[in-house]
Amino acid sequence: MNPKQKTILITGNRKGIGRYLSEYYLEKGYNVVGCSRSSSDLSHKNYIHFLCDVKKEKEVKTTIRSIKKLNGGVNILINNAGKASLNHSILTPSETVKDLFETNYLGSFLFSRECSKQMIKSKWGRIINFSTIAVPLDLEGEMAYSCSKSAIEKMSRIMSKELSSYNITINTIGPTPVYTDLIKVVPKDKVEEIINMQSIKRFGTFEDISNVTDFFISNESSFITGQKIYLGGL
Amino acid sequence: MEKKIKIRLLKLLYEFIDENEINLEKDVVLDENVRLIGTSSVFDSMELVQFIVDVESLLDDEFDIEIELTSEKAMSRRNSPFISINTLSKFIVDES
Repeated sequence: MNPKQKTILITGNRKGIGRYLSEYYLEKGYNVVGCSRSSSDLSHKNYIHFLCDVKKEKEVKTTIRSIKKLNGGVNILINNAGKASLNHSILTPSETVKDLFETNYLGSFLFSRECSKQMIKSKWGRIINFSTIAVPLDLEGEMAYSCSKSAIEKMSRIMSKELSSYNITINTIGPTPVYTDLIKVVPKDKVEEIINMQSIKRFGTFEDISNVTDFFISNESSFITGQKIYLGGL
Repeated sequence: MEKKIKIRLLKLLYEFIDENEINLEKDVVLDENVRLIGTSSVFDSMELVQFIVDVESLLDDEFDIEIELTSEKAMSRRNSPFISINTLSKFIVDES
């Protein structure tokens, strides 16, 4: 299948990494579908945008059904949508934990489940989930966020086994801090502390991320599944 | 409606068994009462998953019925809707 025949769904793509990946894959000739809670100004003949809150099951199902009717289904899913919140565990409200798990973990699960149903029928699929280097670093102050991302890693590992016989691969990327809105909520000294824990001490770039997503989605990566790649050398 | 769905699901079952080259036991009668789950099922667990996906897709494409067969409600019933094409058809009509 060449890029022109493939549809990539990128969640949470109104800005940041998701926006970059959308433009990057449109440039490469893919059909790109994006979704976010508010509308996008991204305009391209091969681009469709849906309004969808990733934690709402009905909205996710409607989005996936609509993509099937418009584009024949999703071939590649990039579960990019996510949010962060920092706080000491003792000071973390239960609502924050719930919200992070619903957006990060439940959202990724719902899209993975619904897209997998289409991929099972076509006997080919690629799913990429987003974790973070905060998971292996066990960073203080990031308990709720890291736990929600850790759950995504476990989900990826188990689903990769369950879906391997359908030629569906599921892998995870764990970026370092990248200049996006998400990192704005992290205090500057905290970001520096994280970067100093990396082998390569610099911010990640959008290109660092697309390098890994390119690898995971390529036809040649059919033997790569259940893996996670952390950027920056951890 | 239930009869129409039943006939279509039965056709899907025949196609599914044929396409996936599923070997049936000698005494299995492939009708609306054939077991879809359990030890005497015609499917293994992965085939059942794939069949459920196909049923959901067929209902959406051909009957415009949007249903999640693996909902909490379906899974928590004392009598599983996946026992046979008969029980599955009834469940679909009841829930849609």
